[in-house]
Amino acid sequence: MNEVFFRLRICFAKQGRLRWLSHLELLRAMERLIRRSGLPYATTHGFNAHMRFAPGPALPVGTSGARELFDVWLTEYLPPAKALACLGLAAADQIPIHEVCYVPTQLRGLQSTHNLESYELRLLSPDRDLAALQAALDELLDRETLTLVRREKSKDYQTAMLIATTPLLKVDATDGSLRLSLTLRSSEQGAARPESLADLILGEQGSVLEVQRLSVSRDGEGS
Amino acid sequence: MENLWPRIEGLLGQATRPSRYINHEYQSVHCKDAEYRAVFAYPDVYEIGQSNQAVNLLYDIVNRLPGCAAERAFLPWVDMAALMRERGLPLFSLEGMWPLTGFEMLGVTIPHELAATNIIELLDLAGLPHRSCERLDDVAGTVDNASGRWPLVVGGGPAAFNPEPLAPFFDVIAIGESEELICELVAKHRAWLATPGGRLNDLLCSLAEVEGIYVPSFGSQRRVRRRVFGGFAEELLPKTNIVPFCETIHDRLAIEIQRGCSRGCRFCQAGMTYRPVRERPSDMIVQAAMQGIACTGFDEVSLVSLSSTDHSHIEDILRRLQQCFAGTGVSVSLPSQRLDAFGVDMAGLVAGERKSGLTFAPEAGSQRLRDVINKNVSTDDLLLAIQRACEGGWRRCKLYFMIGLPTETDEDVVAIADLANAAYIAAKDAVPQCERGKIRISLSVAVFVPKPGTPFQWSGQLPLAEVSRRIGLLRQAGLAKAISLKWHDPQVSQVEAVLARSGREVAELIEAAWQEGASFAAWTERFDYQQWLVAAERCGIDLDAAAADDYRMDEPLPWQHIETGISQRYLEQEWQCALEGQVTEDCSFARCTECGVCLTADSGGQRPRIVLEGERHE
Repeated sequence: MNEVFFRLRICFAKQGRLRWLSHLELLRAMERLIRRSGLPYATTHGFNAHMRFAPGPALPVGTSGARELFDVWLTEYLPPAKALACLGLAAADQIPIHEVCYVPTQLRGLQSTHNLESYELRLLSPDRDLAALQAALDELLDRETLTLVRREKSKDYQTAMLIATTPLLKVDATDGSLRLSLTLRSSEQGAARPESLADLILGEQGSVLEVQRLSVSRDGEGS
Repeated sequence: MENLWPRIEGLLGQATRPSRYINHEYQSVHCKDAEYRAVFAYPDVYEIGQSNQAVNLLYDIVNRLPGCAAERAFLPWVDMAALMRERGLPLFSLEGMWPLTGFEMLGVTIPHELAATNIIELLDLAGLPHRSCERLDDVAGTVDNASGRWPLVVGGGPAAFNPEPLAPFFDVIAIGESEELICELVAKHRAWLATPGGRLNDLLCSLAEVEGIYVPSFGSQRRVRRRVFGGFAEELLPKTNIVPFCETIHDRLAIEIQRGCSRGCRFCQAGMTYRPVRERPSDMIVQAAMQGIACTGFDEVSLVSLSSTDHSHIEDILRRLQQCFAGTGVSVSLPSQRLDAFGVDMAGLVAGERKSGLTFAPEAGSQRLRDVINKNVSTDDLLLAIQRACEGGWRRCKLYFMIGLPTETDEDVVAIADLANAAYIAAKDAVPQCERGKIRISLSVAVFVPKPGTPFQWSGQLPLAEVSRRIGLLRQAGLAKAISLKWHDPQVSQVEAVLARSGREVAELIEAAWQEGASFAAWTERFDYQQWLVAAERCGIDLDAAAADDYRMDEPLPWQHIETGISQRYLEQEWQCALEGQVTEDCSFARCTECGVCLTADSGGQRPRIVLEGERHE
């Protein structure tokens, strides 16, 4: 008999201290959370049977995520509200679970379909004011290609392909900090780090204090 | 007390594996109000220390004592330690992110001899004077705890059976099992703290009365008897398990199913110092595994002990667990395989379809030398086990041996290669022709380190040059191509031997080596023999002699005042048997060997294997 599965999509936050987890550490934490939640998860049939799941695009160590996604296959249907309650209980106060929903089982993996990543960065700019930073940003956006540097390695990106929506620079009204919001598109070229782009805007004196991914989504789907 | 998290978080971007330092793991205990605070520190990084059963056990026990809170601390890796020193940040506890000087008690595990310099690093990074005699003063205003005194520094662990090399650094050292001892220690410490104007000496006198507590400053005239936890089989501890974020070396639920081993291998310190054998009942183990997996979400449960397949109900336990976890992706593991067909069958029960590799420890190549060390296995046992394993689907196998065992000859060294080649042939014969190319055997050869409390405690270690010559002999002994050979660095083993079998005089060497930069000596990439040589020269210690010289039977040993429960007569008798190549049978299944433990331990008299009623094999 063919097995019937249900694909539950979990939307959660990677925040606070947990932003220091690596992608693999986060996956392990999610797997353990699901196992202790008692959800009827499906397992693979290989030599080394393990939980069947599909994570969202990886978040680097040190970057938090407001609305991360994680799909897990279940062998039984549980009303979403009940599944959410089970997960919430098992997560304690570690990993806030925002919501869950069922998605078609035949969808491709989240990492290959969800190519838009929206970020907010908190910046420190001792030598350039908002206008100067905006001018630097505008100049970058006018370029056909952007050369982003990470760990002393540089890589060229097509500006129009990489930057999905016009980045917004502003001073936060509540705490007066400098913020940069932007949505990047990942492609076969790979995913760029938003802080590499911010470094180009900030110049040598400035620095990125915090990076948060606000959401991941698909082209054609609102971020 | 200052919560150091904001300052620590600022360093994480530059540190490797920041998850070592973030805490807030699932089921960690964050106790805001407590009159008495203890911190249990492990002298290595998080992923090593958090895997240690003792840290979890003591943390769990003290957190359950009314009015007490326990936290954990681990040594930061060298990059983080450098950053912390640069910014003036002291070593911190994980839960409260507090300086260690903010606690009333600092418990430090002594897991193995090579951790010695890490213990100094730990004290130094915590801002404590290294030596107990430098921590006598009232330091109100300097430390962050309520008592205004340095924390009471307590050591304990497997390498404490010769406490002398580290003795000057600890106020007290726990000898043996600490489940009950820690509660008595905390009670006495609290009572002393509640008495205004109490002198440290009063506390130490009171603690010296607790069975298993050694007070180094009182000297080694007073004999200290190893503490044995009599209630092992009645209760399963720890009751809760922390679920780490960071991948630890044993990243699974660990259930201690048995303590002690009566097989009597003459080189094995744990086999001598954890007697008598105590089994937990099978129902308790199965229930704990089911409950533990449900509470933690781990995908693996490990049934740990010195020889898990010797548990009298192991087959029943494994079959029940296999049934419990069928279809859940949760696996069961055993840390070691018994070297016989039963051991392979048990490994088969836990492996399922995943047959990655099996590990056996014949320890010596020739039957003569296996008799000397009392490793009661024959060549046929090994070959049969290998054959059974290959028939069962395994294709890779690891064999552990030791080089430099007492009475070893060149023939015994060459016999390691002969045995490995015979194992390879047995493996080839047991698999279909098309699978023969997949067979891999790896030999891991350690250098024998004589350990206190064993029948080999009087024996010196082979000199470095001779170890190298014998390793060379083995390399040239004609191993089949499918057999790979790895050996431990003899210089590391020499330092281990010096720290294992010397007296208090090597405390100076440990401190000097730390000053020369020796830390994380158990990490291959961090060990630097030169640092130890320089330190030894500074202290006037001859490393070669300290490791290699035999002790005379009639001279007092540096650890003479530590009573493990094993009688001197038994050790001498076993040493004599070793020299004559006579074996001693396992007292769990044969006659009593009169080692002395059953007469001294709280074990209900002459019961070498303590099994609860209803659990006995008929």
